[in-house]
Amino acid sequence: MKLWAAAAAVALLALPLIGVDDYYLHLLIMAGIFYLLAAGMNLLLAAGQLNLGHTAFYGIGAYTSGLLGVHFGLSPLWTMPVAAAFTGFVGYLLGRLTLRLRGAYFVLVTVGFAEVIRLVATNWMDLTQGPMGLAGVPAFNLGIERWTLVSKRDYYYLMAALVAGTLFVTARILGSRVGRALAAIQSNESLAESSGISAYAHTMLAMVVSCVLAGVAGAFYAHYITFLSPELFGFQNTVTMAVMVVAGGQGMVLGPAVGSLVFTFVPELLRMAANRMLLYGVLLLLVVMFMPRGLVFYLRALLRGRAPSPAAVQAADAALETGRAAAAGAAPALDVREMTVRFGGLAAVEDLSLTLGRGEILALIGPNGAGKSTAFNVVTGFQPADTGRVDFDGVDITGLPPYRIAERGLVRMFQRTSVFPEAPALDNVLTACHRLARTRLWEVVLMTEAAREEEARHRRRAQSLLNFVGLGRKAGEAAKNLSCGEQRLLGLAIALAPDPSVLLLDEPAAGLNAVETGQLMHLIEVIRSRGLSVLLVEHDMKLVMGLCDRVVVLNYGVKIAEGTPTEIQQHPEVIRAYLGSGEILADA
Amino acid sequence: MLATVALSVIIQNAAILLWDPSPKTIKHVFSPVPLTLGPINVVSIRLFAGLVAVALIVGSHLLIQKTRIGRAMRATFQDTDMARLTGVDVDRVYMFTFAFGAALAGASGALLGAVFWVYPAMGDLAALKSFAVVIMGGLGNFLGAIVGGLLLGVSESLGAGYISSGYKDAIGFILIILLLLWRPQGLFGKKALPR
Repeated sequence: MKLWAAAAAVALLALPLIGVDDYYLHLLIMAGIFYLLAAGMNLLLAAGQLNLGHTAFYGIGAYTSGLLGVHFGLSPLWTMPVAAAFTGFVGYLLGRLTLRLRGAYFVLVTVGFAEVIRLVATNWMDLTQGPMGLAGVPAFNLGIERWTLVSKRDYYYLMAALVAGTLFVTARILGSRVGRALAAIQSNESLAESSGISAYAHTMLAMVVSCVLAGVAGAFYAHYITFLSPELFGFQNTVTMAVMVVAGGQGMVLGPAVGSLVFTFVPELLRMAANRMLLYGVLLLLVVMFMPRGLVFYLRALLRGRAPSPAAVQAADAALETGRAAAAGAAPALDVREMTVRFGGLAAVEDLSLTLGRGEILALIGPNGAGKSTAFNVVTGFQPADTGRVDFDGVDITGLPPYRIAERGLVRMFQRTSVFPEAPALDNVLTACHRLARTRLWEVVLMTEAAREEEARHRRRAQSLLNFVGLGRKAGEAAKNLSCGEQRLLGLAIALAPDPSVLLLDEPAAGLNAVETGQLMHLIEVIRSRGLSVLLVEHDMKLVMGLCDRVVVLNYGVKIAEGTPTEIQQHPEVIRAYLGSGEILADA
Repeated sequence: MLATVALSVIIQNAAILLWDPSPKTIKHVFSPVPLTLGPINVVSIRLFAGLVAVALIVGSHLLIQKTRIGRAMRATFQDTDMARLTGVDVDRVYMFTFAFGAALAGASGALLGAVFWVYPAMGDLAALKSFAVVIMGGLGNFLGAIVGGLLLGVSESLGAGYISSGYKDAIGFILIILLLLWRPQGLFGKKALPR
């Protein structure tokens, strides 16, 4: 694949030298502009957010650079970076307002934003000259006459440099922990947040980078064509970009590149045919129906012959490395005081107080609907409490967002959605190592020594955690292909990856058979012996009674008992709450 | 989603080929003289279009709430796997829903065409706006779609009348953006909690 890409790059660079017609160079330049746009869209799409208002940023970049050139006579050398930065800033502002929206809601707001910007560009005659268009945008010149870009060939090479830069940056971002974090946000946002990944910060990063790229594309267009009109904002342009990304191969580095080449040239080649748009539609339909994963995916399979083999399992021991759990303090690990959560008139949790001591295993049990999961959601920041307070290591964490709580070392495992289904097991754990990263973004993009070393260290850590839970041999297997029990164990490894000091497990034994439950109990024992504190919700009484130091019993949101497993088994109110099942006595 | 975009490109261009891109009017039997009901003047074709729209809304509501296929649609929307397990032919439900939606779109196209003009690109802005209306009300929420549609239409017309007609469409979209910032899950949507 690399060889093919290099050959294609050399061929493209050689084109102007062998005297290719200017018309084709123009098409390639336009394909380059659309590549910058599509690459940005692709980046945000990696986090599952589709920006269907990307033309707004394209146009903002173009008009900013163009107007600065027309009114102040500034050289594109200066106006282009200014336009790119300004577009990025506008993207940041829009992101601040809208990035908490998800899916179709985000799509709609971006469409609306683009429409508003288009109307402003059309109606604000004094600034943009409206539908008549802005003429006389200066061509590229770098100060002196001799450095003015005149021929198509000059523009072609400038665009080639921009494309190469974009390819480099997007490849590095998508291939790094940032790319993993984006994929994690798309596949399971709650789990990503509880592993210490801020969905907001990462989608914002993707948004700003994609807007800067759009700004560059727009500014280049302005000085290349030297005429601007509000048609730039047309929805048709957005559709073209989306087509390039999706048909090219969404989420893949080369996807937008191949997509922009193909879908710039195809409509032009069809120009000979009388009804070219009709053919274009039919072709698009065929690609979507027969290559739903994008052209690049099938090209790659074709060139390679087969899907990539899973990464080789590195030698790593089954050690559970913990860096912070040993730190001892006077305060309890977790202290919940007078927590109340109401849904309408119904109290899901009422006046709940509980303390988790350092190195303790505490179980929270109760019949279904007793408020256990709600209590977990409040402690880990997924849901606000009406009253009450949560202290972690003696510090108030009430109301913090989930990823901040995870950053401090309080990590949960989910009851149902405990893995990132599409990613290999190793990547699942690697993604959750995110919180431990110390390198900065530019180091990741430039792949400095420190960044490479950190990546290798996290890879080793992820593998040794997989070994620890007994999944070492399944490192390359996609999480969704693992058995139910294996997925629970993988969930445990993910929860351990951010190096927590307190672990919250929501029904870890659900769906496990007796042997697997036994293994899980052993693992939790080992985890505790390393100094971690564990709070777990569980229905499996054998696990609860055999493993826990203390038990808290909830019924209808109210704590009805607290004590050692033996005390709980004899507690009259607990027996009443569980009456009819009788399990609590029979199993223990 | 992309396949529907491709289809609309095909159909639009087929329409350009078969007829031509110029706007056409539909001949209808209603008189062009407006009816006067107190302070309100309305052309009878518009009144007719409004009445048909109300009838279609009521009819769709009954279909979704009261019939077997309606129940299957709601079940598929809530949980596809569970619906399949209880014997719902999910593929057929999808097909029916798509056809039903297309029929409604066709009906509204005919009404719009009778009130204004018919031309190949007439669907573009309508598609954008109906998408906006659905999301504003909360995905898959019928009442939300009605309220959202009314809200968008009325605010656009008022905005065009009192602020500026050039910004007519912008006013609608600004309203939608503000609404979603206030309620990120739409007017009647509900938020899900992790488990």
